[in-house]
Amino acid sequence: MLTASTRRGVTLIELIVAMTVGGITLGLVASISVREQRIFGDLADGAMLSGQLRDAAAILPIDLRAAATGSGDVREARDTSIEFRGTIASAVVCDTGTHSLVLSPAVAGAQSFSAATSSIDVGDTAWVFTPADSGDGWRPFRVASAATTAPGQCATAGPRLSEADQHAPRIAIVLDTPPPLASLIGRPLRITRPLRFSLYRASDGGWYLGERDWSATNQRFNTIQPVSGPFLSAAQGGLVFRYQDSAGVALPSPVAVTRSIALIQVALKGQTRASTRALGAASATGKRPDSAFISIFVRNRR
Amino acid sequence: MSALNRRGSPRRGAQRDGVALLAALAVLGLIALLVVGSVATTVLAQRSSRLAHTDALLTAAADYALNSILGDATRYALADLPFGQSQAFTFASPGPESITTTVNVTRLGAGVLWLVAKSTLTGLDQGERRINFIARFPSVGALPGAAIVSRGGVSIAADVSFPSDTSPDPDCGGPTTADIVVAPSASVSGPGLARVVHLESATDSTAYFIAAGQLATLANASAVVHVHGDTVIAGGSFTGILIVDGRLSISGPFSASGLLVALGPVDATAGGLAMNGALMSFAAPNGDSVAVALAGASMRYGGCAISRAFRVAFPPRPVRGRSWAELF
Repeated sequence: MLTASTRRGVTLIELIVAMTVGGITLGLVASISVREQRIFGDLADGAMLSGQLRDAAAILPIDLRAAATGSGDVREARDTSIEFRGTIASAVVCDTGTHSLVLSPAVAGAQSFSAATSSIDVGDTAWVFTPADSGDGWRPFRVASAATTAPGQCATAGPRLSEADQHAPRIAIVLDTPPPLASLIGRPLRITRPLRFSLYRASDGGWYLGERDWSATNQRFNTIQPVSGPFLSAAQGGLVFRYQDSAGVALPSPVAVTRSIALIQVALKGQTRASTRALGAASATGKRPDSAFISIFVRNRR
Repeated sequence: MSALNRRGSPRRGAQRDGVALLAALAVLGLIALLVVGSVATTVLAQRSSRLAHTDALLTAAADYALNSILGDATRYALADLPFGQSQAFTFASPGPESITTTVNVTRLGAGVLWLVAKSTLTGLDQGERRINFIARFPSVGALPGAAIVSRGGVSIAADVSFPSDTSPDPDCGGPTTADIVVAPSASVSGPGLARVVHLESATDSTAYFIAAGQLATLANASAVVHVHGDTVIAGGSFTGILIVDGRLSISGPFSASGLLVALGPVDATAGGLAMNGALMSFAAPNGDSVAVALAGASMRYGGCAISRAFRVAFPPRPVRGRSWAELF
């Protein structure tokens, strides 16, 4: 009886019906799966582009905000590139060594008297604050050498370091033709290095926002390094800088008087790598565009 | 029989239910994957947006704290900050966000303030931002070179003393080499205990902070007392900057810390003047009459007292050029 019942279950009709239903189900599942894969692909592509735009939006203001446009920090301002003195370190002169200035140690927290984004190199410019009754100023000196030196308390005219900070290593820099070193103790200084942001075409054919820093040794900018991208090409407006003065008047590119720059606007445009396959809002190329618009108020305008 | 077999065949029934269950589980699993993926993508996008939001919040909080301190120097007693020592102020930023900002202010040489604001966001989105700002107390002119500076003659009695300034603050200009500075044509009469220096600068109105530009600046300062005409001080104490357009007479015990400037002669022969700072008279030499006459006075040159008086009078301002920088 059991055998007879089993035979009824695998009749040809039942088998065909089951296979048909199963096929339809698998087809539906596969279809859904493929569509979801496409959606995920599109989302990932869009997220990647959005991330690249956000990277640029996060990095550019950090470097550009601190530029002292009124002091001539912006050397060249074009619609496709900007060249300026980037501030790589800030410190208070702690002490003097043999022909050198010893900077305060870089420590965490708000009690710090020093910080640097990268190591100080030969050829960087040290801007030493020079107070005067007639008007304050910043005197530039070329850094002739920089090295780590022993920790310790600052000289009397310098800041008082906490017990813990006295054990932190310090940087000693030698300046070209400085004034009497003892007179510089307690003075704030900024270290700058020329930087250049521009859109460039990489070996993979994509257009990237790139950064070049100055090599004092080679007397030219180092090889461009990608910051973020890829974006649209220069011709398609992948990266556009615009400039305004303090009155909000747009300054034509290239800016003739860079000291008048008060606001830098950056427009970035990109598109997804692959054509959109599931999501809408695609351009004529089938790729989904995205953009970022950044306004950077220059802090040190005076 | 067959009906009994169908009812009595739980094995076959279980097989059919199992296929349905498997199919349902597979579809549910797929849907779950889709939902998880969508949620993950959304969360990532939200996190990126929140990072940008956090960045703006932290920068704004740091700016707010720095501006609060610089905008209310009296409340935060910036003029009285000890030299070289970092002093911390804590701010809770207004708004629903959990941002705490600590600003450390350090007074350096030449009235320079080194400020570092560190904003910290706690909670779901954590973050930190350090901003450095450099400000300076404005300088109206060079500090006086002695306890008494006079364009005209000076007469001091034997009981006038010139104690030395023992302040260790390296920002006060250090000890002076003279007790009295007078113009080259002016004379100093007395027992000869004071160190006297004749300098051409004693004829310059800018050395007395009374040049037109300096007076205009001082007129805008809140902590400067400007007397238009002659005045008599019967006694008491004074801390700060006093400018008298005419004659200054001190007729009783009077303790002063800071700067006393008279465009006319100064008469403090009644005794009891205790000065910590500098006394200046721009009265022109006039025959036998003296510009400054002192008796029974203690004249301590106090560079720190004068510097502090100027710091109180003029709140700090951002320095030109590279005052703002981000610390990493």
